[in-house]
Amino acid sequence: MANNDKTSVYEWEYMDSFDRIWSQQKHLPEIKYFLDTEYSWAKNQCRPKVVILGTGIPEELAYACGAAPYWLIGGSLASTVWSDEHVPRDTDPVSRSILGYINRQGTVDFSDSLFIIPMTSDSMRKIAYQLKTEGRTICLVDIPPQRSDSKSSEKWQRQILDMTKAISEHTGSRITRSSMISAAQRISKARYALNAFLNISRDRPDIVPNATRLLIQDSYYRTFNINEWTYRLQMLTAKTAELTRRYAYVGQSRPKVMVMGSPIIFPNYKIPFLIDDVGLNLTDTVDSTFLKQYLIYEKSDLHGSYSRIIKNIASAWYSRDASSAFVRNDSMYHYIKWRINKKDVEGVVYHVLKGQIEQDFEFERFEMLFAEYGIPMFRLETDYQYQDIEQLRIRLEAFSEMLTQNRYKEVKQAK
Amino acid sequence: MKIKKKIIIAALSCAVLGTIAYFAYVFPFYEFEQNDYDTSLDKILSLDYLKTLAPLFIIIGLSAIGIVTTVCLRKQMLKKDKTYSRFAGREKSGNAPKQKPVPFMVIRWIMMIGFGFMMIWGGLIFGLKMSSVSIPILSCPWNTEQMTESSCYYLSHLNELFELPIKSILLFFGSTLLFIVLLGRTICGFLCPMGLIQDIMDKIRQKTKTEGISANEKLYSTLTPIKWAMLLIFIGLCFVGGNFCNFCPAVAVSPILAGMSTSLYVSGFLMIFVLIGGFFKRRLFCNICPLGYLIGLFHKISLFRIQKDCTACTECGACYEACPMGIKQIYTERNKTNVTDSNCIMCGECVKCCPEDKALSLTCAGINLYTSSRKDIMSGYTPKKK
Amino acid sequence: MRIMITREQERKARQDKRFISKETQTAAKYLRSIDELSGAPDGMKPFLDTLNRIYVEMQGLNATQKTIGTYCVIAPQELIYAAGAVPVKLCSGNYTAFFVGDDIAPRDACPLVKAVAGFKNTGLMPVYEDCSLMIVPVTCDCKKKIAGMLSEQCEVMTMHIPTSKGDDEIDEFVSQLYDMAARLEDITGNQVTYDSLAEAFRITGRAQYELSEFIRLKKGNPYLIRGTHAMTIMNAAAYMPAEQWADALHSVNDSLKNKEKSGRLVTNKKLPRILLTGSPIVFPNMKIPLLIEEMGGIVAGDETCMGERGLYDPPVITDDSFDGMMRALANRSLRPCPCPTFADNSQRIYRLKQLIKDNDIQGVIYHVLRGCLVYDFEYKRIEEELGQLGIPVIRLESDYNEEDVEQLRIRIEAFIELIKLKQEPEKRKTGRRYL
Repeated sequence: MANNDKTSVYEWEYMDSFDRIWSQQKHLPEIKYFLDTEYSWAKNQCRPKVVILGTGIPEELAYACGAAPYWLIGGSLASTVWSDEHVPRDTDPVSRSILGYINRQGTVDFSDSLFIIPMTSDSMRKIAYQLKTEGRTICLVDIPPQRSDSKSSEKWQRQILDMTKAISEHTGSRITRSSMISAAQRISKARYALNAFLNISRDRPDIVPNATRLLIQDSYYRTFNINEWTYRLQMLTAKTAELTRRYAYVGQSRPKVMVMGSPIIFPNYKIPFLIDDVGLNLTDTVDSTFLKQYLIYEKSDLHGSYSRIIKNIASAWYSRDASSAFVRNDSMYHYIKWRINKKDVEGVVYHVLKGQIEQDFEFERFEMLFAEYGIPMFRLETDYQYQDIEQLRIRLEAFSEMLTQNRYKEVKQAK
Repeated sequence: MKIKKKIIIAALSCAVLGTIAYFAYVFPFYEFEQNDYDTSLDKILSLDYLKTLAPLFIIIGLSAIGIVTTVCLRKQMLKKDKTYSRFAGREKSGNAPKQKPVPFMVIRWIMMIGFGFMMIWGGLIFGLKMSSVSIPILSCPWNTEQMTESSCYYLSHLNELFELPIKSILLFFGSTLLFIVLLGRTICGFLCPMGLIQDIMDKIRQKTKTEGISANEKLYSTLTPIKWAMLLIFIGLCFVGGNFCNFCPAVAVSPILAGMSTSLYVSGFLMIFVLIGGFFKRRLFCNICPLGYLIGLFHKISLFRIQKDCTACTECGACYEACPMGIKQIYTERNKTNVTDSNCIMCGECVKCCPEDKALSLTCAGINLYTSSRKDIMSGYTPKKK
Repeated sequence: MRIMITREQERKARQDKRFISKETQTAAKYLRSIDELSGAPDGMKPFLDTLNRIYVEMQGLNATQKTIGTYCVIAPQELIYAAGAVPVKLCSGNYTAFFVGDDIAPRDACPLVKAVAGFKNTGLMPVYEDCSLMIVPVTCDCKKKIAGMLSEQCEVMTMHIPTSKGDDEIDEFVSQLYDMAARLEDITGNQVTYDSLAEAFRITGRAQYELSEFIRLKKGNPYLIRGTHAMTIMNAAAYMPAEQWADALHSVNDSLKNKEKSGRLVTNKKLPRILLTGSPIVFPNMKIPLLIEEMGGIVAGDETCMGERGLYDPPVITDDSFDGMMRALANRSLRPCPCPTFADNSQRIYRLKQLIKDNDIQGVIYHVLRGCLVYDFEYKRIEEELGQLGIPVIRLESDYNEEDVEQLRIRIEAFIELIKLKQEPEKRKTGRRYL
């Protein structure tokens, strides 16, 4: 009986978010493909060979070994409940969700999989050990936290080489130079397509609502066929471009808001929906996954022997990674500064999941940065529960009013 | 390393080393016009002795040059690395804190030196009393004046063995097996002259405070297939018409020191390799010695054991770092008490370096010969001693 | 304008005064409790004096050499001595600093890190201000981020601690130690030579020798010394140069040996023997050991990093070259360390079992600081394993304030009662023998 309840919460979460997103769209039935991708991921019963926990490693290498990786990045409230007994009280919901998916019986069969676990936080470290005691095959990828150390890039490259070897041993297929190059090119194409789509649709929330845009970004991690995903996305971009030319933007433009900090993962879209409800325009969710889309490989990166290519990929990734696993998240800092200078940001919602202490530490630094530029910032601490929606709504409404007032102030000053 | 990779390396090294061993007579290292296999005490005390020692001097000279060149090369390579180059080339006048000498180690050195002396010159001084006994040791039987016969000759020339009368064959196998069961690989650690030479090289390195090659799983797993290849060549070369003695480095030690003028072929080159390798990596040749491996295969029935108390062990890894044979299971074992491995030469380094009381002990037929003790480790630091 | 500035200054001066008075009061109170606890060995005075000097009189180390602050025992002290400096362990246990840090550091951060942030912010503690360099090994998320925050205020060096202990990781850690030595040379201006490193090994080696003697004497049952006093001695090691500490410990050892001979014990009763493990217990946060011993137990074993773990394992030199000594340090820092920063920390269970066997432990108290996730994760497994041995374990979560003292007291009392109940039948047996 209890199991049924848990499954029904899981279903309800997905259905609720799907309904909301589908009901918002007017001109683009093409997004159905992406909704289907999400749904089939939620419902599938596959036996993945390679499972990656979190988004902390370059996925090009998993594709090069012939395995389409299966990502576990969290997101569902029901999944956090499935792993309640295995983790301490203060663990963050993303780790709980990941462990919950792994321990869940009956749908996806993880008995044969290789788990790749980047050590982005304490909970990942300890979960890795729990998985090992259960007898699963794991591969740890340690992230050297200080980029300015003389040997950190080399250490990271060695970790990635070991990981690639482990993947190719587990899947049984050898990595060749050509498979590496083709994988890197495939991923570059996908990222480029995503970039193009986001640039087109960011300023037109009337054609592509914000939540839809976020869902399409998220579906990158749920698809089983990256080529088809890229193709569909390119079609969608073309159609969106055509629609932007055809229809002018009517209606008042809302204040632009950026969400930073902990990742927002489908189906837990309560924050994007809330932000929409209170009358703000969510331009982007800037977290570590977001910045990865800018990592596109040129032909010059893919020269040399295959171990040279792996090292190039690894070092490019390491120098641009904006995850909170580093002592100082400089990549994120510089990117935010660039966005501010582009005058793209009117307000920031800093999202902190309960238990993600590293985001909380970075909050201070960004608070000072935004205060310097006079941009209002709002700290939103929550977890995956839906009970605090009303409270958050009230606070967000106040924030939204403040932003609208700011706009009038600026207009007034301009006059 | 995967098994497949190991087999490939074993096959490759078998082919390469086998060819060299087969054609060993084509590469003369030092040839005497006339091989003189007679020796006597008078010969040793005369000037002729120096002439017979000529190849040995050449070997030592070349090894020394090789070692110095390697050290200089290493210094050159380190200059590129920012951090290591800072610390290279600094003065090393002081002494690292050392443990007080332990009875076990002292006895081991005395036995090694004593037995080596007896094997090489014992027959000359005391007469051939025990020469029909065969010990599985790499002390070359070309030295016919050795105290005891060495099993390595007949094991590598099995075709000749089976042409001997039955009594000799039985005596040979009987004495070899007896020593294997009684002593096991303690022969390697306490008696073998090749072991003595390598330990001397290691001592020289420690005294000059040069860096060696540290414990590394990849290194040891590369040496294992080479060891298998050596065993195959050792046993099988006689059946294809080669002579292992032209290839074996032990020829350069015992006969020459006893005063016999023996021409050296590939053995001379191999001996240089043993000396240089033994300088940087302790007991490098023992890691690939075929005779040692043969003895080690019987380690389960041998009397000498290494016992471990797994509760007292803190997994500090000192035993693994100290072990010249790279045995990791002493460090990683968490349940069993008996951690003897087929590679273990009973040198006692692991017990010496273990900082926990009674965590490791070397036993013979159940009697504790040497137990680890924290007080021994800390004996370099006792108060009132600076 | 000027009035505002002076008003600000006045306010800060008042805040500082309040901070100093509260801090010294708390530290003095705990020092007194420790002193008044029965069974203190002769020779405790130098340790209490050091803690008094640092926390009550607010003086620094008063060393002629430079001081280098470390935040974890994984950073080897031998290198610091070799560079001619003095190490100080800066993990903080201070309640007052915690209150200050509560506003600076995130709400869910562990109290140790909040206290450090508090101290750095007020800038009043000479031990922190005098440091020329702070070495922060990145063992958990909070330490990682606090290193970033500290680097804005003083010189910081982070060390990457690998999550597993394979041969490659040890090699990488050796190069990390070389980096540390290079940085120390730059800061102190002295060279780390073969001789200075060998001398440093001798200095810390002597301290470790005294400690192993102390542990051997401590194992005796019935007891020669209380666990609280032992933990105070270990805590004082953070602020005393190794030679001084070793000398003081030597006299304590002598007095304990005399006690052993003359049969003067801490107490005649058979008190329940408790092992304290988990998050570090840093002075003045000594409320848990004090409570345990107040309620009639004795802290017979201590598996925390501010306790024995820091100086327990000696570096074993297998190769006499300079590189060999660095490798010995790397091996000693990583391999035997049962810190939960390592993904596979099953050796901690073996260490606990060893302590349980050596000290005849009857109960384990698992101390978790609020927000310390790594130790919390391991609790479940340890509870299972020790449950199989029949040893009761309880989890005590606490914070750096005195509000939960009563709750802790009740729980510890109940736990000790539980152990005594289990112990009862033994007592009766001995009684009958005497009859």
